[in-house]
Parts: sequence; C-alpha cells; structure tokens
Amino acid sequence: MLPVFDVVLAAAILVSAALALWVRDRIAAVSGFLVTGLLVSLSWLRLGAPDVALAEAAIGAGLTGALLLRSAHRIPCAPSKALPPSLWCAAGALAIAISGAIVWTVTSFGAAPVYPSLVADNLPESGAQNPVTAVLLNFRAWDTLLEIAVLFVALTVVIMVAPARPRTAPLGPLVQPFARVLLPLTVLIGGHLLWQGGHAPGGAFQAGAVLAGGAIALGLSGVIGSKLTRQNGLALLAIAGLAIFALAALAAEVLTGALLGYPAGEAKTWIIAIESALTLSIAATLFLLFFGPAERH
Amino acid sequence: MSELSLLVLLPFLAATLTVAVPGRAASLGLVATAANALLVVSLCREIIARGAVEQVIGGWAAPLGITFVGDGLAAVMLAMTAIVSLAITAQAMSTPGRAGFWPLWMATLGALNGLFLSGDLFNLYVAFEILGLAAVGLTALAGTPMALRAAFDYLTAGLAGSLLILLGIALSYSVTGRVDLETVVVLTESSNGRIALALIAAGLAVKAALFPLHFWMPAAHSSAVPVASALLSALVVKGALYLALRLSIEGGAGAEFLRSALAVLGTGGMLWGAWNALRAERLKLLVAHSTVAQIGLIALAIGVAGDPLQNGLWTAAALLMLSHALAKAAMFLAVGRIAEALGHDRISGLNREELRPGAAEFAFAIAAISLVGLPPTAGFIGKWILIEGLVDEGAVHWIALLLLGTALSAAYLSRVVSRCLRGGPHVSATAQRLPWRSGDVAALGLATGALLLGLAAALPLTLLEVPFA
Repeated sequence: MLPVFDVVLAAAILVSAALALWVRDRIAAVSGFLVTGLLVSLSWLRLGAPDVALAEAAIGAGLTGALLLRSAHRIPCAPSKALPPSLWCAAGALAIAISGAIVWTVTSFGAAPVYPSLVADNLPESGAQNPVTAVLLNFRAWDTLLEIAVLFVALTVVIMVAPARPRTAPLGPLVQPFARVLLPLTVLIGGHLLWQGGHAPGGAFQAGAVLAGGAIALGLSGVIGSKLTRQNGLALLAIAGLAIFALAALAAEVLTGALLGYPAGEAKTWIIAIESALTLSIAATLFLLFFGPAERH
Repeated sequence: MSELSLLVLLPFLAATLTVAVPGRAASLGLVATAANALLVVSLCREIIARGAVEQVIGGWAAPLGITFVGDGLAAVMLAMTAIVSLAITAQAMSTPGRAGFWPLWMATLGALNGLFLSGDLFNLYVAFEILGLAAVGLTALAGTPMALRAAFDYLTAGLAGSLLILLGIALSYSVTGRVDLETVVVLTESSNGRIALALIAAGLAVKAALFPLHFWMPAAHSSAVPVASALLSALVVKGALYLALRLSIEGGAGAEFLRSALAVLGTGGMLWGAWNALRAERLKLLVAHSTVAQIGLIALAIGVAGDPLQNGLWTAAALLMLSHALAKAAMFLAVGRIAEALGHDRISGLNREELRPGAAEFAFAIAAISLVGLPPTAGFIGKWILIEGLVDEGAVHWIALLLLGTALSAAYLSRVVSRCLRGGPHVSATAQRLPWRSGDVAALGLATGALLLGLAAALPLTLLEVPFA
C-alpha cells in the first residue's frame, strides 16, 4: 500500500511542478508552486526527514509562496511568445546532462557518511537531544550564524529596493476574524516548535516562520499593519538576531576559549537563549520581507 | 579572543550597527575597516612568525565541526581585502551614498573574511550566499532601471551558480561522506567525485564571471555606483577565484582536469574580454570587460601552474589576484571621478577642452601600468614567475598566449590613457583641474599601492610560502 502512496506522491509532485512551470496565469503558477512545496514536504516526511519537511512546509511553501503571491499581482502575464527551439534543446540537453550526472553519482557506491555516528557520539554533550538542533546550534553553529547573516542581507536589500506595500483593502470582511483566531494559535505553535526543537523536530527557523505567518495574516487584515511597521522597532528586532548570535559567539569564546564553544553543562541554556532570540528575529525579518520597510514620511 | 574570530564577526556586528544607527554608519564603517586592517596585520605577523594557524570552532574538530584555517594564501587574501576596503571606505565616506550601502558593504567584508578562512565546503557555500546576495544589493544601489535590470540578471546568474555549487557539495557528500576541505583530495580519486568537483567548479565559474559564463558581469559592474563597482570587480569575484585556487591546492595532482579546464576557459576569457574592451564605447564598460580579461588571466595562471604541492607556480596566480584587486579598485574609483567630472563616460569624449587631466586620470594611468604588468608592479612579478616556470616546462604556447593577452591589455588601456595624457591645443588655456577630494586619495593610494607592491613583493611571497595547514 505504501509504495502506491509514494508513487502517487511522486507523480503529483511532477504534475504540480509542471503546472507551476507552464500555466500562463501568474496566480495559478504560484498556486502550483505552493502545492508542489507542500507535496515535497510530504515526501520529506516519507524519506524520514521531518525537520526538513517542517522547514519546507513553513518556509519553502508557506512564506515563499506568500512572497510570490504578493509579487504576482504586480508582474504582467508571461509573454505568449514561445522560446526558440534551439533554446529549448539547449536547456533540455543541459538538464538531462545534470540529471544524468546526479542519478549516476547517487546510484553508484559512495562512502558511508561520517556524521551520523559522530553526531550520536557527541549528542550528550551538545545540550540538545534532537540531532538536527545539535548540528544547527552547536556542532555547526557557525553555518547557522552565517545563514542568519544571509537573512539580514536579504532584508537590507528589500528595504533598499523599497517595493510598494501590499494593499489590504480587497481581502473581504472575514480576514480580520480569521486573523484574530489565527494569531494566538501561531504564537502557541511557534512556542511549541521552538521548545520542541530541543528533543524533536522543530527549532527557531520553523517557529519564526509560523509566527511570521500569523503576523502577516494580522497585517493583511489591517489590524496592525501600518501601526506596527511604521516604527523602526520591528527592523531593530529583525537585525537583533544577527547581533545577539555574533555577541554570544564572542562571549562564549571569552568564557571557554573556543568561538561558539558553550561552557560545559550550560550548552542547553545557551542554545535556548540563542534560539529564542533567533525565533523573534526571524519572525520579524520574514514579516518585513513581506510588508517591506516602514513608510517614509 | 583570537584574531580569526574577530575578523569574521566584527564586520557583521558593524553591519547590524550601521542599520541600527544609520546616522553614524560611515564612521562605524571606518572604525570596522580600520580594526579589520589592524587584525589582518597582526594575523600576518603571527603567520610569518609561527606558521599557519587553525581554530576549531566550538571545540568540535572537523569533520563534525568547522575549522578556520589561516595559512599563507588565506592571509594574502585577507590582506588584499583589508587594503582595498580601506580605500573603498575612504571613498564612500566622501560621497553621500544611499542607505543600505554600509550594511551591505560590511556584510560583504564579513563574508569575504569568512570565505578565506573557512576549511569546510558547506560553510564556504553559505559564505558565498551572503556574498552573492550582498553583491546584488550593491549593484542595485544605483537605483536606475539599468542597474536594477543588471542586479536582477546578477541575482539569477548567482543563484544558478549557487545551485551548481550546492549540488556539487551534496554529491561530494554522497561520495565521501563528509564536507570538510580534506574531502577534496578523496574526490579526485573517483569519477563520481570528479563530477562533484566539476559541478562546484562550474558554479564558481559563474560566480567568478569566467568566460563563457561572464554574460551577467559587464552590465552589473558598469551600471553600479563607483564604490560598488570597485568592490564587485576587485573583491567579490576574487572569492570564487580563491576557492578555485584552493580546490586546485587541496586536490593536488588529482585536480589536473580542473586546471586544464581553467586554463582553456581562462584563455578564452582573456581574449574575449580584451576584444570587447577594445570595442567598448563607454569607459566603465571598458573597465568591466577588462575585468573579464583579467579574470581569464588569473584562471589561466591557476590552470597552467601544475600541482601546487609540487611547485610554486601557483603563487603567481595569488600575486596576480592581489595586484588586480588593488589596480582594478583604483581604476573603478578613478573612472567614477572622471565620469562625475565630465558628466558622461564616453571614451571618445575624453579629449576635452575645459578640464585638464587631474588626480583621477593619473590614478587610472598608474593602475593601467599594474594591470598590463609592467615593472615594477606586482602584476609584473606574477607574470614573471609564471613565464619563468613555463619556460622551464617548455610550454611555449602558454607563454605566447600570456604575451598576447598582455599586449591586448596594453592596447585597450592605452585607448584611455593616451586620450588623458594628450596635452596640446585641444586643452584650452582656461581649463581647470578638479579640486582634490578624499576620493582621489583612495584611488591614487590604491594605484600607487599596486605599483609599489612589486617592490615589496617579497612580503606576500614570504606569506605564500608558509606551508598549507
């Protein structure tokens, strides 16, 4: 029965991806993208990677989809002029070559990954029972810090380019009650994901994305929109994540002599503190990526 | 706290501060670049005295954790970045820039420092993400439709490059089971591993604007504001070239296939860039095409150097990168000043009556000497080392191509220099010189630095001889 489910899932991913690529209407194409993202996150679950599934659902499908929908209104329909056949052939040949290389490499024998055993051996000292959190916030926390810097740069670029703010008027009378119900739920789920990240799938990125989702719903309903984003406070909260993470990394070096080396026995406290700051900062960043910078007066 | 930690984290902290206190962004940037330069000096002294330094982040040894590796090559790249960043900061302080410049510039500095020190493939990828995104922002800084268009193309090309790099890293993980840089030598031993390396190299070629994947670059570099062009052309593309050199070093004898490809593509870039620079009608575009040619030259130098573990020819590539960074930054800053003074940057309009050539034209001419590689510049020393080694190997065809590239670069740069230097009747008696500004100091300082670097080439060469960690 399960292979049937997997086959249907794989076929559905291909169909929705093709839909996203070939539909002329922008909104329909973005919807195709959203559905593809959700199906892909299901496939991550089937592959036994619930952390990736959560991240894909929250960020890959959810927020990226929201950002694309927000922009889709402003971009004219795809040109009806077809690509010249030579370009089609070249793109097809390139895609086949790359896919062939991947298939060949993946199906042929490789060395066993060194990480599972290393992570399992060092997990007790890492301050987290969830190996993914242990990798993200301890073993390879430097990668995560740089990823927070990527978010920071993305926000800076968006603020600089200053896209027009989305209009909230035509959304209908049900949005506000919906948002009022949704927001407390997202706070609850976000907090749960953050706390759960220590021992089960979850963590700052997923929690931040869920929080941002609730805030965006509230913003679209017009309750907080201009009131909250007009101040600089939200932008400061967004950049605080990078600053706090960097300062924590240096503080840890002062205490233990190793950059990002948390003091023995206190790793859990450090990780929770850093993750809490990151959750708020990520939520603020994603919210601002959607709504754009504060309006200038 | 060690220099390495501060080198990578101070710029990011400065970046957040420049957003939080936009009124003081310029002074914060100055403090950060000055501190960065002091840290690099101290690190270089330590490396010369005690050899390569390593720092295990979080106390987790590779491959589980990530290690910073500060060897001679990393130190030279850090020093290159520090010198250019001082000039760029000086220039940016004298011109009122748009909000967004300082945080993007500081993030670029942090990403470059992190890139040069990283000893881990996946970490290098994340550093490239910061670098690429910040570079797109810097391109868009000018705000003109042309700059936005170029920034969008840059974003698309950069993302394609990133995906190729990420794909290569994922494949190398499936082949060797780890992602630290020591995996590279294992990769060269199997055909699967070589596919992974080739994918990473293809991604790097897009990011370095290596021919024929340079299509996005002339528009991006020529439509950005002068400080951003200088930054993009002098430093950002060096990140990818540095990693190509690093892969060649880590791969040793097994990376010969990568070097052959680099040599061929490099030759193509050198000739194609020079051809376009000869035909360019706008000054900025000429300089941008000259970057395509110079990147080709550097790739050629990496490609023909042979196994870096066997001979020292690769130091020529590092010297050429250093020399190009200083000279090209000086050139873009000078071009910015020239265009500002003239109100246009058409090469045919450089013969002018109302303005006498000033500091900016002088800086351009000195930078041109470095780029062509006339003595006593570092570019000359780099080419000298390379040609000497190639003579020993009897590789006459590479020498011929190198000399052809040199002659072409002299030809396209003299299109500008000859017009600037020509005195005589077309300059009217009332012609004025532009008043001095700190921007001139930056361009002139960098150009002179590139010139004098040849006399002090012993210093980078000593650093480069520090054995790899």
